[in-house]
Amino acid sequence: MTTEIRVDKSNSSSTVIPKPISAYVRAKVLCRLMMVQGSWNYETMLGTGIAYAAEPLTELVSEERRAATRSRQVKYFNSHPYLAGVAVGALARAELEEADPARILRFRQALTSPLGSMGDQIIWASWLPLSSLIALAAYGLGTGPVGTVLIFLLVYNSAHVVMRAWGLHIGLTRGLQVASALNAPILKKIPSIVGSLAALVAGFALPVLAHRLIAEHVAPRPWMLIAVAISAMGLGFLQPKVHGWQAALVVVVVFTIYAITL
Amino acid sequence: MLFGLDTVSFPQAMISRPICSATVTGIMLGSPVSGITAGVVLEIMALDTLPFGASRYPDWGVAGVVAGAVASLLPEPLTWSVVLLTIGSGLAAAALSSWSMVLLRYINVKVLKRYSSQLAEGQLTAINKVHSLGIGLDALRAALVTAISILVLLTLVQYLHSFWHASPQLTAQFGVTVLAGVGFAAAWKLFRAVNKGILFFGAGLLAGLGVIYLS
Repeated sequence: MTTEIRVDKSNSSSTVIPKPISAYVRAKVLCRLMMVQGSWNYETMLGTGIAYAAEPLTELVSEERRAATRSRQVKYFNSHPYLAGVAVGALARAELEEADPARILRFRQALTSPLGSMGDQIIWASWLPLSSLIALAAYGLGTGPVGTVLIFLLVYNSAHVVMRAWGLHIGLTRGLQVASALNAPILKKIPSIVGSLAALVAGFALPVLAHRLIAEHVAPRPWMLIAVAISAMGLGFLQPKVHGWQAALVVVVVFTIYAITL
Repeated sequence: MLFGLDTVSFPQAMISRPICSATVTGIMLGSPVSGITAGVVLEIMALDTLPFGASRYPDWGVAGVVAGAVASLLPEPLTWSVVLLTIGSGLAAAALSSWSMVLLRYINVKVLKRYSSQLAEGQLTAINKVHSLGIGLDALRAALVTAISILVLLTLVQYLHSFWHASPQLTAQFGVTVLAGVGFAAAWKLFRAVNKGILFFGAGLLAGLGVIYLS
């Protein structure tokens, strides 16, 4: 199965109509995108990862342009890893259309911030906590170890895989005009919708989880409620300077010293 | 190693999250209940730490494996003292592994500089070498940090566990308080960022309490 790339000549500076890109090539790129952060570093960040992921598409670029394409791809680039496909697809299409190299580099630079913040908002700040909380709630309701893990992985990766595939598709389809797809109102609403859902599930998950963990082993005391309220509010105000896990590590170490020196 | 790789390099399917990595470790060591308990408590700790771009964040993949191993390899039954020591060892491993990820990113810069001229010329072999070396080094990093953490922390935890004198009731109350405090702080972070988030959280809380009451 092949999908033809349609060239929007009214908006593009390109003159070349590229060959259709087969589903096989797309699948190869998608697989490589799974390891796009493999050589992540503080200098070019995702640069070499983008070049690595795009290679099956770069092989379709004319031979005289191919080395220059690769040298552009390894330059500095950063984005959310799941949306790197947008960049890989759009940049590859621009190269296949033989767009002006200076324009490609400008476009690449312009794409960094939106792809980073959009992915962070949709996935890291919303979907990942929601998936975790759904799994925690399932465990709290009595689901076993294997079931809990499966629920978490299925919920999380349903969005993960779709987002990677969508990103590559939209990049390849829109090319340098991909910004219009990224500005779609629905994409801006997703973090708020998922965030609301996560808040709802958080409210549900925490008591049912505590109920299962406590079982009959703990007799609740008023000081516990006060300590929970103070620590939750304190951590809420201190974030992002102090994370919950850091504070927990300190108090667990202190309590351990107390417990062994009694 | 695969759990450590998943954090950044491959495939970022979140098998590295403690709820998965600790549970699978527990299952592999024959203690699924210990594994999931370690996974759940560490997942609560992990709720408010998200792997944003270039920021430094804990490596929950390694942490989950270490916590799962500690919880599974300590003598039964799974008491709250074991849970607390599991949390401590998991968090210590997360911090250590986080430092190793930063180190790896600097090493990747050095590798990149070694191949800079070939990369500037657009040589495919250089791209493949830099990238596969990065993944290989990350796998090595994850394996080494996991092995060292399990070796050191398990020995330490076994030693500490044998001298644990706090009453089981106080230990359990302290453990629950720490988990609830961190959990509610993470939830607050979530609903504070959402319009009318507190209403959604409140509705969920009522539903959760209702389920407990009915059960």
